[in-house]
Amino acid sequence: MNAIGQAFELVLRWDVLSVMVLASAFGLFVGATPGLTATMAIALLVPITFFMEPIPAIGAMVTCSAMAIFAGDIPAALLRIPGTPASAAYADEAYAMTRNGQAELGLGANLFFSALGGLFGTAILIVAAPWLAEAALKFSSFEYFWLALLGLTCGVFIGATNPVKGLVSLFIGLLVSTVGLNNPAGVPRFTFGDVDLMGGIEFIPAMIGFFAVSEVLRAVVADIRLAGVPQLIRGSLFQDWGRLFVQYWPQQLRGNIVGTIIGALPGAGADIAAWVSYAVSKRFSKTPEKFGTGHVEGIIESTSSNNAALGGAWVPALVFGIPGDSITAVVIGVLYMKGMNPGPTMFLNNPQNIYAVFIIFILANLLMIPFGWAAIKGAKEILRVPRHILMPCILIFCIVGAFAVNNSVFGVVVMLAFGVLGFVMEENGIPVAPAILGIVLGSMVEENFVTSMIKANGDLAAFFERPIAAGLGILTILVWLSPLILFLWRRRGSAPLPGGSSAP
Amino acid sequence: MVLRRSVLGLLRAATCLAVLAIAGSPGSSPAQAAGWPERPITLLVPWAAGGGTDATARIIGSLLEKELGQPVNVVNRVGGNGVVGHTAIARAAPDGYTLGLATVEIAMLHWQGLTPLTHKDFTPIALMNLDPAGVQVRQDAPYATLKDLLADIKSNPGKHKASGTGQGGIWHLAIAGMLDSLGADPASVPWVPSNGAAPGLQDLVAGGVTIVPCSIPEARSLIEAGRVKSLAIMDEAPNPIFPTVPTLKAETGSPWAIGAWRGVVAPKGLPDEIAAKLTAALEKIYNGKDYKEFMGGRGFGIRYAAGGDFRTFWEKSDADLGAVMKKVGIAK
Amino acid sequence: MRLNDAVIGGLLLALAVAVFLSARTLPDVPGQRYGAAVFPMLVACGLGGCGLALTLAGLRHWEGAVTPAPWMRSPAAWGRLSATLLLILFYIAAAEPLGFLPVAFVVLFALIVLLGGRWWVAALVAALVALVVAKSFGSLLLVPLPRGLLWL
Repeated sequence: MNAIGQAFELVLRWDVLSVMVLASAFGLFVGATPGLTATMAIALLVPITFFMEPIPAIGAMVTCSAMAIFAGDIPAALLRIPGTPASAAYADEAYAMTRNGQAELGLGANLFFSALGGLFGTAILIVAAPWLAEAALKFSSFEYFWLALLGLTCGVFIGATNPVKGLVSLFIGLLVSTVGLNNPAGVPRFTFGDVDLMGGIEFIPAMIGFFAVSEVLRAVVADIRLAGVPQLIRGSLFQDWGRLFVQYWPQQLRGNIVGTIIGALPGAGADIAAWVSYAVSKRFSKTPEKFGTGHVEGIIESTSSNNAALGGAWVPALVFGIPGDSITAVVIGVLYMKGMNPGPTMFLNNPQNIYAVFIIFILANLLMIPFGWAAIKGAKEILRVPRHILMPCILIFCIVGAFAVNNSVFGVVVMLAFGVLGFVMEENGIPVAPAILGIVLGSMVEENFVTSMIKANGDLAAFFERPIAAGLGILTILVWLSPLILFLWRRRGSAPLPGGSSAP
Repeated sequence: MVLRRSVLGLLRAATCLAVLAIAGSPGSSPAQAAGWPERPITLLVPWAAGGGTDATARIIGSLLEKELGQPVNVVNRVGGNGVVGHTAIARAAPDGYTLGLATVEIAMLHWQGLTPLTHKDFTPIALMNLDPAGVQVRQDAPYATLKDLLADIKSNPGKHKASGTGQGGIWHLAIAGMLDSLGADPASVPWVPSNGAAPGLQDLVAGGVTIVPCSIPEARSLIEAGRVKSLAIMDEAPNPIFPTVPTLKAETGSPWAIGAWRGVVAPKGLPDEIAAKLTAALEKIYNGKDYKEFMGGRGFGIRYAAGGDFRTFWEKSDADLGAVMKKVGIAK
Repeated sequence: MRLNDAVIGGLLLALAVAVFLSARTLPDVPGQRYGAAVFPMLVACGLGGCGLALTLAGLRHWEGAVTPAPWMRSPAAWGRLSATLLLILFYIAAAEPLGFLPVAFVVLFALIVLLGGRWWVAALVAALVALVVAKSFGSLLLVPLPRGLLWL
């Protein structure tokens, strides 16, 4: 108890709190800007935190990352430009809500459920960190392979009225992920002798191209002075929160749990959590046909999930010093620099520091509500800007964002190429979202497949030899076969299963 | 795809023109070198934000900023095992406003035919850091010493698998060179490529591989957590953080020593005056309290060599690595 | 533009074959049977399969190779589209030598005028946005935007 008291004393000081407030504003700005990711925001903080005490330094990083992941939702909803990759999964859905005049409802849900998801992730971090980290350490390449395949399966459930076209998009994404040196043999692949292509195709410029540039091109070919400006109907962000919470608590809880678990697995972070949760939400929804038309259900589940993943990612980071995602990778470095070496000893020797981290997490997620409210209020004024002025400005932001990812004009080239590709794909009814998922997961699938084959000396049975791998493998195969099984089941003439709660 | 290729080609040409336009613009003249630095300096890092190289660059950058009185912006240029970033450093104008933090990979990539760049394309300024390789196994592994492990490797070739970086990466060469120096076949421990040391260590603890020959700072948290133990370190002296881990030489008599190094470099043709100013500033930083504290806190090893000494070190590293890469069959 | 599914399918098939053939030449990990070639070949197979399925589906509902979208009949729309793409290309080529500020101004100004804005509004907005972006990204977030001829 004494340690908890000490922890409060460590955190509730004006310097810690003011650092957290500044970090909030910074995180919101970076998160809302496409091309600037939460990871970059944290990396920019590193030299600053070097001159800070440990607790304010951690306060700055936790607050900044939580705000950034939420803030990515704002441009996704208003302009169909995901501010961070974690918002890409439901950018289309949120934008559809805005076009239906429900920007306030959608963004309000993003804010409320982001904060709740963050608090849930924190709760798990507090209660179950050592246990969950232990479980995460049991994951070898066999388990990750199945996990990545399950993730890819999500691509088929997302979007696509025509499943073949969804698959086409997914395979295009996977193909893009094979470009460059980053493959198990370490040889240049599809690089045509170009140095920049050796580095592979970064998925953030590709994402900006697919979503934002293709949207700008669509606006350009249509006569945008005639296109209507989306109307904002409601005034209050908060008024639907109670109703949404009561109506969608199972989705929210499921998003929280999935997000925390995926976040806790090293190498998978908020981005993947959001995709998986969106797909799960659609798969088990009673009204899957509403998805993609501006339906809040999937947004709630995935926005909960990506913020819960942030807390989850700290689980292996604090317990074993293994980063759960790219953000905690930076944080671990800072922890070492501050002499707060992560590991089990941190829980034993300096419990007040751990408790202080927990308190910071809770505070950061509570701060999200007022700061997020202000950010949404300010940002939605964007919709009042005439579109013939807005679209060129968006294009410049896209260019700067695509440049900033690797500080190279090659990012702008990638952005342009994928903008055109995305435009052509969507004109022909091929959704772009699965392609993004393919780019994100491609190297994970490949690396874990090939390394597993090397370890097992080419024996495919090894993918089922370890207990967790076997479980995940069987689950994956069941998910794939579920349409077939359902089909056969119905053919046998028995009573039809209720649509939503069927297999896997 | 064909369309995209031709568009890419067109853009490439346009970019080349742009680069030429820059190269053609008035570069560094002695008069400008005297007043250097007059504007912000860019420090290019060939690795991603958040990694050890990035952290080292950021601390050097912030200390250099104090020494030189101009902002030093750390810019990450990531991809292709460092090819992209090192190429960007070499191609920049040698005016002292673009520096880079080169890493050991630049002594390896050209052997694989991945880049034409060698130390001849850079102006070495100061070596700032060296992290020797260690031999890490699971804490509950049945080997008390490296000798036990070696005996098992020799009697069961192919049983042990190692991981911790990509195919032909520095830690892959570390174990291959070690085995070779001890009279074992480097191929008797197949390499499992991984995306860095952290996933390799994760796989070690999860039971996917048995050896991770990465550096001590990379394995530190898991060693301290009691999950991983280090059997030996491939350096001349033990690491100050884990002084009980013996050196490879003390343990087996093999003189093999290898490590990942990082040093500040500039493009080829940097005026001598600027190089001298930079060397003075970096030497002061290296000997200062802030740098030592930071690197010590992270467990990073420090090693200093300026100018010509740095080039000699670089050449030796290059030759050693080339020899191992030929043995493993990675060098072209 | 709506291409018939059979046309898309045919293009995808051709891409898949090209990828497969080029991937076959990629080396394995030394001493292993697997390497850089496995995954692209699997992806090529998947892509080819989808291409085949689309081709068959498209041939069943053949209504001509291309069904133009409404905007494609307007030369002005084509003009705006190509101008936008050219402006991005201009940025890619000119940002390094000329610097972010002038190039961003030109891109913004041209695009706003092209989309029907008044020239003085365009000039004002372009100057303001270019300055704000340069200041916030270049100076505060330390994104190394090209300085070129003109900087703050």
